[in-house]
Amino acid sequence: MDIGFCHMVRRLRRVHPAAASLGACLLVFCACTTGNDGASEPGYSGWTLPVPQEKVDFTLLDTDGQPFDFREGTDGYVTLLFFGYTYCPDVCPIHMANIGAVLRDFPFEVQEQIKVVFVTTDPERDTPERLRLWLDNFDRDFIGLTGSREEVNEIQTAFGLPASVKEEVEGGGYFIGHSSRVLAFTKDNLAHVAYPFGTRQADWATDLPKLVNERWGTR
Amino acid sequence: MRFHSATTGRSILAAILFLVAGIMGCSPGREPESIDLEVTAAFAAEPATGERTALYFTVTNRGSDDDELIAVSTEVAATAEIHTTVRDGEMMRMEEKDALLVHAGEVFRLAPGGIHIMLLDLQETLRPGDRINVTLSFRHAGDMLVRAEVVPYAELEETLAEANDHAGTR
Repeated sequence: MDIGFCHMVRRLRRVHPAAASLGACLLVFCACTTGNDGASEPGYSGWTLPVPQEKVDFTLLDTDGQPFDFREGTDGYVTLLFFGYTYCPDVCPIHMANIGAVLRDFPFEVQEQIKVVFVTTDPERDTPERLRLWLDNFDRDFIGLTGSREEVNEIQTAFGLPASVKEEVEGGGYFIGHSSRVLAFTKDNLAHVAYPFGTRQADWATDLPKLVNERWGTR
Repeated sequence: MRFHSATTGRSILAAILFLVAGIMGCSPGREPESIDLEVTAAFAAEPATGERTALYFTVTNRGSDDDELIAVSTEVAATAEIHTTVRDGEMMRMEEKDALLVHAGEVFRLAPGGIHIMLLDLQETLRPGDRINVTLSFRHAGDMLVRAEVVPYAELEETLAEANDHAGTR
């Protein structure tokens, strides 16, 4: 029902741009129901993708300035992939902080099977050093990657995510519009589930150990 | 931490949960029939990099008139802007808003992924447990001074939920 409500709001916004602010307010109330192209897999609070998303081959610089081959570096791990930027005060740090807080409470043998990869959508401001400093707030093991805006947009598109958009604001400065979805790859190197913004720590705490043990299709 | 008390205008003092709010003054022009605004559950995130952070709170309008938050200021930040996170499909982007309308009888929650006050160009280092003074300027209720507690990003979700539960504003 909530989903239908979201659809309704989106249609409204298309028809009448002036209703955008109303739509934004209303959308706050269905913040946990984004991801209209999937359904909840039984047992998962994230959204199951209609077609599992394959990994994309790309190599970007990590926060040590070393090339990081995504496929090779995450092969066989549960991998959470997110695109965002460090000047983002709301969505990005909350997503990362929630994941970091939950991981801390897992036994080491679960923690070591999960990798979190954060790719910046703001390469102009997010230097590898800054990215490291920012990620360390949440987890020192989070992997931070930087590349040119074009490269990163191409990668996002290949993952089926919208390319990020730079929006200038009055008085200088800019925001980056970007996907709010965390792609969760399992050990088969496919993302079957994605997590929208609004995913709570309790959801991560339940889902991550399941993703670690997941054997798709052999249940 | 410092606390600024109301010095002019009519004042209603409300002690609420984690903060104390002073309502003072009133703007010229049309006089609303009744003003009864309460701000609760005020929290700022511990900045992840130092220059900026987000502030959240809940405004309860028990009066019979709508009111509008028209400005926010705090000594800990050079600029404070009202931001809304606009969701377009799965894309999320921020937009600045000039004002925030709080209808009569409404409980308006600023929340992650929704509306937040962006504190830009922070002037001080904010650590968990710090309390910051923030002046919320409403069109009718005038200036309201609130104290917001600084909490780590990882604790925002739970802290806001608990504070709103406690105040019955969830």
